[in-house]
Amino acid sequence: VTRILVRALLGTAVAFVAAFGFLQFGLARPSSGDRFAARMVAVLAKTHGKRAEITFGSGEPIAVHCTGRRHAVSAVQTAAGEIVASGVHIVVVRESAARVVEALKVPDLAAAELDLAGSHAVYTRELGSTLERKSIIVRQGRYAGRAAYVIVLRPARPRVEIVVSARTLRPVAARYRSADLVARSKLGLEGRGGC
Amino acid sequence: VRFALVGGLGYGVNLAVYGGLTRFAGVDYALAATAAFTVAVVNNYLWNRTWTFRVFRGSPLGQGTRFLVVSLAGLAVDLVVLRLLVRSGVAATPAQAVAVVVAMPVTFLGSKLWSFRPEPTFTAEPVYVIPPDLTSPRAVVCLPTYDERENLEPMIRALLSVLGPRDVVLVVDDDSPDGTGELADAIALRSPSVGVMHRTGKSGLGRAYLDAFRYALDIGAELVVQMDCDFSHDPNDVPRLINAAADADLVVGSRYVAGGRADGLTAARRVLSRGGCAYARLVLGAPVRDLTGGFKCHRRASIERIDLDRISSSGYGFQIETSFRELEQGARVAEIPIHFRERAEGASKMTGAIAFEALLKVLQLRVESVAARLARYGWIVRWWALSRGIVFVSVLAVQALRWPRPSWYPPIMSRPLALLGAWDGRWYSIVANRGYLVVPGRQSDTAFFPFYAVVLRLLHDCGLSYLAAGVLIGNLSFLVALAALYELTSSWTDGPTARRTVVYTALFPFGFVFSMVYPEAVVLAAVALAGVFAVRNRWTACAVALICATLARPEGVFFALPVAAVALSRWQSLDRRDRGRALAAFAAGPAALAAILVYLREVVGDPLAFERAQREWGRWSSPNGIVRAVHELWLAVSDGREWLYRDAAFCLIYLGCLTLALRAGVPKSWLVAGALIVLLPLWSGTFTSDARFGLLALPVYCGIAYLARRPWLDRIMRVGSGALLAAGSATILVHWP
Repeated sequence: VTRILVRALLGTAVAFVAAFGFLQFGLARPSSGDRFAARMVAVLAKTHGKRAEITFGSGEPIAVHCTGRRHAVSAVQTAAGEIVASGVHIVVVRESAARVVEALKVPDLAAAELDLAGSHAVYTRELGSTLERKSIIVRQGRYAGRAAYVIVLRPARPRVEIVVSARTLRPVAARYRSADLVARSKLGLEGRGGC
Repeated sequence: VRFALVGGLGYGVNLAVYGGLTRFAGVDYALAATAAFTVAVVNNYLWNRTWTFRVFRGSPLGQGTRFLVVSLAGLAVDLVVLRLLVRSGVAATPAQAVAVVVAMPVTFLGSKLWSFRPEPTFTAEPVYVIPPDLTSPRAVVCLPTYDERENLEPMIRALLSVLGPRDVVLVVDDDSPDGTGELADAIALRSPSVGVMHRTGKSGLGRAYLDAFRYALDIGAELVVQMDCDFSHDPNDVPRLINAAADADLVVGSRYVAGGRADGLTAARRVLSRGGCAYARLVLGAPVRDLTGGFKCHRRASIERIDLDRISSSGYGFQIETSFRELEQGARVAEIPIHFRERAEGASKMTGAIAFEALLKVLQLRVESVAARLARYGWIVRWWALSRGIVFVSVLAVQALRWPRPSWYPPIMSRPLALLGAWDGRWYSIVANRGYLVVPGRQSDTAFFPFYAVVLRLLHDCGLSYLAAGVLIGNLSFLVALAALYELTSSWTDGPTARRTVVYTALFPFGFVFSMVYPEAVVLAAVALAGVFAVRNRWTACAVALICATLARPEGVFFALPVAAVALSRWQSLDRRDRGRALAAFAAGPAALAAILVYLREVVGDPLAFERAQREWGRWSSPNGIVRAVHELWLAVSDGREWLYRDAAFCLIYLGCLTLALRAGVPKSWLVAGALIVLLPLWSGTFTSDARFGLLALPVYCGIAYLARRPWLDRIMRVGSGALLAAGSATILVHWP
């Protein structure tokens, strides 16, 4: 009986080791960027963005603020109008005449404003969907003299990057680049409200 | 056409080996390419020998070398044509297509006319025979000799002292230069129980035995004993072999069962012998521990059942080949322990070429066996093709119509059958691509078990898209599952019910899942194979199948139960080793599950990440889960979740079929496993996907087959099932399976 049990235990141990080895060598491991992005999603889910200063090209900074809204991921209010995003749909709610002219010249203006407004909900959605399709690229760098990470939210054009503080992992800046538009924003940190 | 198909198979093998070596073993690409080419050439050689050209005669070594030369020549022609075409401006891919077409006739003609040229038919005409005086003996002990002058007389004397009055000794001499033949003649003239067969020159142990077997059958022997003349086999063991043949068709004197020994072997010979036995046993799946041993006793009927003309081994591969062919024909085998001693006098005949021949012979036998089995499973292949045809046509039709969500579909020409990769298929592709990653607050991929993702990744590394890899794995696994299911149900019930079980599994309305990028087909194949292996006492293979099943779906672990039941029912007839193995097979599934937990702990820091991910997918187990599930069903219409009725209806159908399966004779342990698969998910608070989970409850299909035992009902049910399968396939995108 002892011999039979010893054989059985050895066989079970071999089965365990074989199964574990199969997983260890067979399955891919997420990249460090992916793991970092997963941590970022957790941070973004607990925090909100509210204020931002958006600069298109070499123009003057535009102040915008972002609010959460029922049934919508975020609403971005600028001096020129209001943008509401829900899922993959972006709706421009109010327009000034100057903005209509601008929007005709640059079709992805609304998308750029949304990406630069600092909405953590939008970043979570984009980071999450990119994470499901491909590995996230994360670079180390500095922003305003402090250690920071640059996360590529959307690698293909329009390319969107957010800069996050290395200390708090909260977004401090965003960059947008498409065929028609190059823009960046500086994000304000807010404790309450926002989106 | 066969030659081209084998070429295509070889291409696949080449890519698989190359991908596996570079990706998983980290082997240098040039070395991997060489290994892949070698494996592919061996693969093509075996298939061409046994299937395309069917040339069973001739030395595998010579044939294989000629085939290698022809393959290299074909490769050279291919490269030359490719280079010329590319230089003249043709794109690389079409150029390669043309080059392959040009090179193929070269390799085909080379193979047909040279590599596999017909060998002169072996005629087993010995020069002359001095017959023993006895006719219709009980046993003929065959002693093949070549330069055995020192051993012959003591051996015959020892044999005659232990044999009975109706037993004879037949010396088969290959024209030994040392005069063994003449000595044998002199002994035969003195002794009426000794005969001598003289053959023309040294033409191999196998051919000597074949001549002896034919002669023994001709003179009406009941038993044929084969042994070496060099005292490595103890003549005193012969009566034990003969006595054991009362209850067996083939008795093997074994060095490797309890009580057996092998003395005097050098370390190299010992490794060669042990390794050769393990290799042959593993590849052929034969339940004999000493397959290479040459001390055997065959019953007349067992030899008559095999076609001696098909036996082509001339060296030591002969021992493996005869045992395997007898086992294939259903011979009952017994192994009795012997004490093997390396020869004291004379020189061993073992050479590197003989060992290589045996190595190739084992592979060839396996390929032949698989080919023969495939031919026997032709009807299963037809039902599989029909059912999968229904699924593919339905899926392509809705893709062409872009129904019900036009924006979902990619163009049919760029990604045909995209529908089969929907829902969980996307998640398995993510796991295959990136491994596990828990994203807080979102639905995570740790809810998906890893085995299928690993196989997807392996094929993806060989150049297939995840969709193509998934569809390929699913559908091929389903074919294997059908064949295994047939073998398994044949051991439970009568032949017609087993056949109907296969038909209804193929046509099962929810069976479109088996063609999707889902692991269900892999699990079905693994658990059916585990059952077949358990029934055949192949516990190690059973354990491997259960590990695969459990790594692919959590339900796999339930099948430890029927495996344990099979082991318990045979406990008394199992030897000590097999008892240990059977227990290990029982524990293999839980061990694999434990391995997943440890892996998750290491990778995502949470051994219960699977359970936590399930919560994000809306499932969590609790004692009142079934109450929550029924409550959810009650509110289904008001919540807009009418599809729950589909899953609930299938749940009831599965339970009904399990009841019928009991009447069909399915063992209770399998029914319990099936019931657990159907019912346990309900404790997670929902009926969602229970229709899919229940697909793995094997006895369900037996129950349907039992229900359809009247021919008129059978016909109606087949048509109805096929129609529902088409409808189910067409509605994949309407709601997840």
